[in-house]
Amino acid sequence: MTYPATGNGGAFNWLFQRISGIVIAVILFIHLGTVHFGISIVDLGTPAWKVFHLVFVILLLYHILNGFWLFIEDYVHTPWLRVSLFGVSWVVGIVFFIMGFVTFVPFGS
Amino acid sequence: MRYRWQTGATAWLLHRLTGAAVGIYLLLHILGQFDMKYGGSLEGLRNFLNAKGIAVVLLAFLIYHTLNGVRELIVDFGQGALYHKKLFWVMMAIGLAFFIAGLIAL
Repeated sequence: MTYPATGNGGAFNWLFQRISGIVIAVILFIHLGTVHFGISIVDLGTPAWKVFHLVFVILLLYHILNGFWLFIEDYVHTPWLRVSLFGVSWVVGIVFFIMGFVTFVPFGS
Repeated sequence: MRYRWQTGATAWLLHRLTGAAVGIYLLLHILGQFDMKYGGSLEGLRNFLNAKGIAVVLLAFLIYHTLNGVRELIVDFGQGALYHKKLFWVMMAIGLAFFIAGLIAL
């Protein structure tokens, strides 16, 4: 039986969940060390740090929402609900990307 | 659905639970920082997210999820399937070291 909104079977998502996870682990370590633990104080307003956080937010949202999608794949079997939750995850991703973007990109201006 | 409490299945389940918790935390973190710049009415949310107890749990969950993720990579792309149970405990030992270091830095 095939369920709706499963696309290509998830091969790309499976691979990119691993790739994004590796990059997130590195970025998170730097993010915690600089922004939260204050081991090294940096100016978040410089272009390099804006790009850093832009990449962080994009990969993080992908990783989180793809993770939530795995929950839906495993536990939700009602076709209309699966499609709806798929749509919800896209909306959440876009809204949170915009919130993240307008929060850190105008820094220092 | 039935869960079997063996090392691999338990690690998988913990990966899900910590992933869900950390995922929700980070979404709220983005929301909190957005509000700090553009509104300021979600002070309570920020205080909750910054609470010491929450930070300690987040640290533990993040370390678990990251190191079990590394273990999954070794299982998927390396020869980890042959020693994944031993690898789990190696990762937990490394995680404990990170956790203690994190507690000191907090």
